[in-house]
This record gives sequence, structure tokens and C-alpha cells, in this order.
Amino acid sequence: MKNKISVLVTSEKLNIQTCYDFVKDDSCGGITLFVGTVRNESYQKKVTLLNFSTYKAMAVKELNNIAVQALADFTILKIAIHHAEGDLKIGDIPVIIAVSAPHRDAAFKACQFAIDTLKKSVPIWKKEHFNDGAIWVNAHP
Amino acid sequence: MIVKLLVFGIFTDIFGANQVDFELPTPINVGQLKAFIAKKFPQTEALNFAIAVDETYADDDLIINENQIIALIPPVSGG
Repeated sequence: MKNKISVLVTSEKLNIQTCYDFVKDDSCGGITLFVGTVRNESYQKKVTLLNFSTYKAMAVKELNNIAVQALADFTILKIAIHHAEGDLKIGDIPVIIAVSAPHRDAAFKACQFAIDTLKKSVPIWKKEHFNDGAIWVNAHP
Repeated sequence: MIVKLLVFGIFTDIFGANQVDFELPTPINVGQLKAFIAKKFPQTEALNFAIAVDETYADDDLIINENQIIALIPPVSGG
């Protein structure tokens, strides 16, 4: 199982090629790549910066759980889930998910499952900074 | 017992720290700890936060022991 999963939470710049190369295999007919990008607007306001903070030890465990589940539920060969932490600028990449599979349907479905589950369960928090302040996304007490 | 709580996200603003020590009655389970925190910090109540014990999401009926790693997990927003 271990050589089928690549999970990373890092303050280094994420690398699409690294994820692609990890999942690539001669037995696979397709690879899906989801690449999250920092957009320039939120709540009709111009975003200046995003900060991602993590509970790193648990985030790595949860990402690994998602990968294990994806391998169990879909006919895929390998999966990479890499997430950034720290400050990101507009256009930077907070998350990459790569999935390889013999057939495309499973690759698409597993990729969607992984990003949807990540957004629900992995302990990572996004703070959006604007010119006039900042807010924690999903948390409005 | 005294437990060390790790806090993240918006909770770092509410608590003004990344971790806080709490004197808790024993025995206490996860649901009771949530209620304790919501009472002490009313701003947390609307957030529907989770608790992780030893880096795993914990159910409300799990009893908390000394020396476990307890974390308050406000709504997540990765991706």
C-alpha cells in the first residue's frame, strides 16, 4: 500500500511534475490531476494573500486515510495528495491531487473523492487576507 | 487533571495562543470537554468544533486521560 501513496504537507512550493511522476505507470491508461490555485477574489473583495495553517501531524494522517480509502473504493493504482502550508500569493498552488488508473472513470472519481474529503476532514485552515483585514474561511462566529 | 489543549485556526484568535492548559474535573469525556470549553469561551459555541485525541477525531463518549494530545479543531478549510 505504501508505495502507492504519496502524502505531503509542506511549506515548500508544490510540484505538479513530482505528483505526476509518482503516479505514472505503464499499466495505467490515464492520470487525473487536480490543482488548486489561489484566486484573486473572495466575497467580492480583492484577496492579497492566503495563509494556510495546519495541524501537521494529524493532517498527514488524515491525508493518508483519504488515500487508503481511495485505493480501497476505486480501481486506481496510485495516488498523490500534496498540500501547502504558510503564505501563498494569487496563482500559487495550495493543493495537488494526482491519481493514476487503468481506466479514466476511476481516476476521475477517486480524484473528486479525495479533494471533497480533504476539504471536509483534514485539519488545515485558510485565512484570507484583504486590504482591509482578514477572515478565517468557514468560521464566522 | 491538567490537560494541554492544542488550538488552531480561528481558535488561536479566540484563545490568544496556540495552546492552553486547563484544569479539568475527572473523569471527563470528549462531549463534556466540548461543553466545558463552550461555556468558558462562548464565542466557540457557534463554531461546531471537533476534538481530536492523539491526532484522531474523537467521539463524544471517549474518556480523556492525562498525557493524551488533545486538540480543538474548528471548521476546516484546506484545499
